[in-house]
Amino acid sequence: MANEAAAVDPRYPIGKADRKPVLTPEERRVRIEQIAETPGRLSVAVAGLTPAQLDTPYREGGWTVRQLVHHVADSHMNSFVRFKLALTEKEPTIKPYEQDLWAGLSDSALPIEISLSLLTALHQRWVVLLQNMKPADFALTLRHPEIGLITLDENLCIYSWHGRHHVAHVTALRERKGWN
Amino acid sequence: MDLQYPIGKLKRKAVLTPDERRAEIARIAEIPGQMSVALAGLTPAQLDSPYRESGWTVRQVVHHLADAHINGLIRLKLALTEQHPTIKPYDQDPWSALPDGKSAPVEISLALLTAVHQRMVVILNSLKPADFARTFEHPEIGTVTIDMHVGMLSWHGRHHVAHVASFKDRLAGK
Repeated sequence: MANEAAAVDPRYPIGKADRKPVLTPEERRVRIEQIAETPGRLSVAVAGLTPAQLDTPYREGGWTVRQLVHHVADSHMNSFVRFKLALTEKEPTIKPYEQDLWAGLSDSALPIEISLSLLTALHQRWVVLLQNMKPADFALTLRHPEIGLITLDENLCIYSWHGRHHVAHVTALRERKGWN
Repeated sequence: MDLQYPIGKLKRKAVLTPDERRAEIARIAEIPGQMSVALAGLTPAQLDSPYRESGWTVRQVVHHLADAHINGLIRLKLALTEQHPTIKPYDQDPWSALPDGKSAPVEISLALLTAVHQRMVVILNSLKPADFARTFEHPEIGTVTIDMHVGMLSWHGRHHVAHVASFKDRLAGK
């Protein structure tokens, strides 16, 4: 039972991010592909949900589906900025943000289509950037004040996971509630 | 006409009156649509032409505007959720030289800008007057109030729209 409970931890439906400081070219290619697919998968995951369903927490005490969609856009804007900082400065120290407070601001109550459109466009630019990076660029680093040094390979791991992580929150909620 | 500063240089104001604030927020809301109009009809070769001698190409200007206002939305949210946070500036020229800024279709950044501005405007319209006095620290500029940030975003968007519009006017021999 304990194993089963761990397997369906509603916070981590696909497990935690695999943080690898160095990826092989094939591992990189797979993760870039996942980033390219995230906006479409998120759109499919939320398709047809009513406003009341969108305003349902994905787990008890968690964000609503609507907040989660806006959070993915917020998070990936910050990530896009961090990739560019690492590509244009030597080991920049990035600015973290308070994700729970951000999710409480008024723009997180907006229609999700705005952030789906934001995410689609953002990922298109991000993928052009990632596909044009040389292998050595993925060894460039940024400094996160709380985590320490992060390579762009590791950041790619984190964000390819992050999008799928939140898509899985929505699909798991739909299954539990029978919203199919 | 000054090709680099078609609408003049930015004048920073730490405090706006309620009317000035309303006008600046309305201008911010209009910028994505104005950029879309300014770009309409330009060919790929024209998009890849510098908007002025030795300046960025029109394509780079559009992607730069999206980059800048993503950073602008992030700074606004930081100022509203932390006490006088120090924000991270970025080096705009090397950013504009990255492959996405040099080569991606402009439609991508128009869509990005539209969504970023929608979120920005909703936040700004929901703030109480006192919130506009909240601040962030820019390591190079110093203390920036949200009022000043609003003025900067409005000027910055119109500044780059005017680059594209004046480029198109010159192409048409106006």
